[in-house]
Amino acid sequence: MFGWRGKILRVNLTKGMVYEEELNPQVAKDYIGGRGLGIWLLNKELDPHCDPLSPENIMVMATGPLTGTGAPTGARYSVMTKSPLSGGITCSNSGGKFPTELKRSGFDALVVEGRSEKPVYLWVNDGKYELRNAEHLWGMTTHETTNQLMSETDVKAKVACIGPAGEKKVLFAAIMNDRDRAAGRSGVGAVMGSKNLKAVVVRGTQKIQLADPERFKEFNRQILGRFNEEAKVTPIGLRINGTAGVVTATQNFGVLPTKNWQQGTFAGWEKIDGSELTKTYLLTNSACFACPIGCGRKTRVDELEFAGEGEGPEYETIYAMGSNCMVDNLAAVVKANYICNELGMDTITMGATIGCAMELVDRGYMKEEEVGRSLQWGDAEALVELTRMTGYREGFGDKLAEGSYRLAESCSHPELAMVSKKQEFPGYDPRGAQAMGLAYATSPIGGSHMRGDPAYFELFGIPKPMDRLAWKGKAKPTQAFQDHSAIIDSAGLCIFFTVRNLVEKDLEIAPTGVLEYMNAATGVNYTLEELAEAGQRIINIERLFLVKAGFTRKDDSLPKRLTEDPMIEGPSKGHVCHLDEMLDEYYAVRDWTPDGVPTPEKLEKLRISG
Amino acid sequence: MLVHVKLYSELKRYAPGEDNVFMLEFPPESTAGDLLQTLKISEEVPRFILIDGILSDEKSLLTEGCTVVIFTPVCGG
Ligand code: SF4
Repeated sequence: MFGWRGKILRVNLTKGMVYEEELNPQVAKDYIGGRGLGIWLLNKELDPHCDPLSPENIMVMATGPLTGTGAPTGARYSVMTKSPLSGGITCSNSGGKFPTELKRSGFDALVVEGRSEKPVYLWVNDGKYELRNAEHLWGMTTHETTNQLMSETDVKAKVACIGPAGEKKVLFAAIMNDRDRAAGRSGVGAVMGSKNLKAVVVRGTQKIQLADPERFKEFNRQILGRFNEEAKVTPIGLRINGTAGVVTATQNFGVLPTKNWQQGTFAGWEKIDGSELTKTYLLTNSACFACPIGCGRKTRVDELEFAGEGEGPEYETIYAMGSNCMVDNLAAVVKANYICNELGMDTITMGATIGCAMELVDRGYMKEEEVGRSLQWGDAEALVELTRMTGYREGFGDKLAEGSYRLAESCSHPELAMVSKKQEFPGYDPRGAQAMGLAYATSPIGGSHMRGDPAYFELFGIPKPMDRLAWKGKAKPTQAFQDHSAIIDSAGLCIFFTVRNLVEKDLEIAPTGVLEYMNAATGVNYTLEELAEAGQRIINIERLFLVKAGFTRKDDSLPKRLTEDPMIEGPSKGHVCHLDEMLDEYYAVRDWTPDGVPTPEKLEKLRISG
Repeated sequence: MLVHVKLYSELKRYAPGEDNVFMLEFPPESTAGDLLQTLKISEEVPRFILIDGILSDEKSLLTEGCTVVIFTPVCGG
């Protein structure tokens, strides 16, 4: 095969067996790879009712056909499994260098099953593989683990691992790769921990074969040429200030979630904005494999109380740990981000859960004695301390480790958890960006901006602006964004570059540039319709899995704060999110029943069985 | 009419004084384009214009007491 390696590595931890399987070319074409390949496999083999932290759960780590090919931002892989946070399917993706190295080691994907009796790690070295004892690594942070594994395998090896949070099954534990890149969301790290798999270490030198290297090279030249020309006129915002630069936009649109989503603007926003980060703590930017943007932030904080060095924060971290907790101390936000990276946790759910705890205390629904310390809005020290305690499940951290929904529910106020399908939202209040609300509610993994991000249209005008406050007509562009995100994730590309450079500049964002790369790399000769259909197929099979797991329309929901309480201030004042109205339109656009179930005709048309 | 102006990110340097938040006086019927001209922000400079929180363009009309925010476009994740 071209583009794909054509091989999957099966890892049965219960039996201690590792063996190869062929990748079926028709499945590869229909589901592309990455996220699509993962969900195809889970739909076939995983009991939708299984306990996510039991040996029955399966975890797939999959690259895409463009990962490691040299296509711009073709650097990504996805982790698919049943989520302990949402109880549904999840897919969490990450870049860096690990995904490319995994593919160069000879495999498109790893399928991890069962549970090892003792901690182990998987070592894949240019087509050879073995499970090794990891007892000496248990308890180590992600950085310590990475250092140790590079020294005992190969200094050029790339590592994806869990930290103490994954070992202790924090429900939003992440899998960290290349030290500070995260497959962050939905507790994929807890699943890895439940399997006693501490790390996957890969070393690969095998080149990925392309179907038409000349055509690929020529298209790359065109795309990068245009990108570099444009960059001369328009400086690349993501390179200068990282995603942290988004604070300026969300604040001024009145959609920067503040005080556990009670407000859409934050008085201290300029202290935590991207330009402030650039001025204060940025050492340099960093890039994933083959990325011409380089949005990563290598940072260092010297202030004694919060001293440290590492990567981040991203915008989502700044909203969750900053404005959402009313913390305007950037050093503390950066420090809490470092702790999440080192202990292996999702910064969004961490910050959102602390924000929720602050509101529970503020309203008298939870006593500070339960927390074991004072917990007031804006308390930077509490943010850092509670983050650390959560990673180790120490004291009150043990409660925070369950995420905001379970915390708020234990205080009889689940409505104060800002979640959909029990997963916390990214930082765009849908009262001022209506389609974002629809995307959150219908995202298969719960609150997420990575399963479809119409804020690009509504707030950033990329690739084309759309009225952020209108709710009519939002279903179609949301569907288009979700379908195309499925293609982008599955191909192994990064949304940041792709949505600006490899799609048509309208609300349908047809992925014509992705198509050209896919065909030059794989030789499969997709038509645009076939590729678009693959995106729909992935969304529909994810939905089918959720339906089988018992999810219905009532789970496509938002907290009533967003749908019933008008925003109290700022440029989005007076608005609520019109989810119900948009949902009807959305299900119709998708050919799903009014209860959100894919019809048999739809599934048949997409050739989905099971 | 009096208009509140706020400049952020790379556009702060176009402020007439030290402060990136200031007021400007315009005749009725003036547009965001007139404001950009006053501040000497040329067409090539990438920018987002928000009038009272609504994404606007050069042709959009300014109104008495409105707040105009101008900043470098970004997007994130
Ligand atoms: S834009 Fe950022 S996240 Fe995307 S590939 Fe480049 S460095 Fe990685």
